[in-house]
Amino acid sequence: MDAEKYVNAIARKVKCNGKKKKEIKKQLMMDIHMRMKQGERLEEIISQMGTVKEIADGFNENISLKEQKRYVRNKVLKIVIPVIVIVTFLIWFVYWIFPKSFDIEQSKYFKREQVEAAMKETIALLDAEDYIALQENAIPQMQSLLNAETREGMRGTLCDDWGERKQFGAVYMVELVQGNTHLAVGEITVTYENVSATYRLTYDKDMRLAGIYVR
Amino acid sequence: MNDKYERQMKKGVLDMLVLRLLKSEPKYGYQIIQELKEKSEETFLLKDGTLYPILYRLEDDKLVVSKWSEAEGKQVPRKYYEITEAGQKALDEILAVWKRISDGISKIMED
Repeated sequence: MDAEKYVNAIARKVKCNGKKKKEIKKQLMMDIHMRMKQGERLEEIISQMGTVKEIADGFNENISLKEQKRYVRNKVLKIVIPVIVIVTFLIWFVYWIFPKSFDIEQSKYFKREQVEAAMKETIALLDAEDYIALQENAIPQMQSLLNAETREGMRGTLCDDWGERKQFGAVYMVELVQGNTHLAVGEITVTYENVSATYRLTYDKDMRLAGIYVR
Repeated sequence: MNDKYERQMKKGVLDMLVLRLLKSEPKYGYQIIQELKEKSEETFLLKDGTLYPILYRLEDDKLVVSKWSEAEGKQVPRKYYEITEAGQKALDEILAVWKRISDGISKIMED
């Protein structure tokens, strides 16, 4: 062990503030250098001064209880405060990342009438099999799915022949927030000649179709 | 067992001895350790971990002041401790207490 390691090890174990630790290190180094100048070897000096534990215990026994308590409190705070910060951040992050739904009337991004109109238009385009218009108003990930095959697949889960659309039912919608993503999700029941279908349609902030589900 | 009593008795007089050594002139830590050892004929073999906290406490109580010396040539910088006026006064008071206790102990022991 060299002198600096020895002194640093002692300072780490002494229960006092950083300023005093620095002072202790400086003084111990000074003593060691003086002894070395007098011809003593480091091993002899360390054996005279005591082990790291002995010398640190000596300091701690003579440091006031008040200062030791302050040291322990500061050390605990140094651990507790980052833990609180990390836990708070994690709670906030989980809240932020978890999808949350809000009343669309309170939304900064969506207007109920606008979403309702977009939903009705999407359904009309689907019924008319106007895939080009549907794709133009959809997010890129959705565009390749908006085709005859998908439409028939969705329709087939309910009934082979839906017949002509008769009327739109009530519309329910919410704003869905997940992280920085804001979506409008609406449900509407549509009555056809042979079936009643409930569409769940999702739109992004630019009112592009981002999801479609029929039951 | 003896160790325990010896340690306790020594602990009670260390402040007084350190102040007494500083009365003549300012001294640095290692010098105090050496003087205590020599003058007490090795009765007081103080370690750094014992002396420095005493000096820090005396300094906090304004009984001593400290000053780092400038390093000259190859000389290691030293921290000198000097007794203050309040320290001199405290030393006189401690010595008076010590004398009273010492006399009291002697009277009991002589019985």
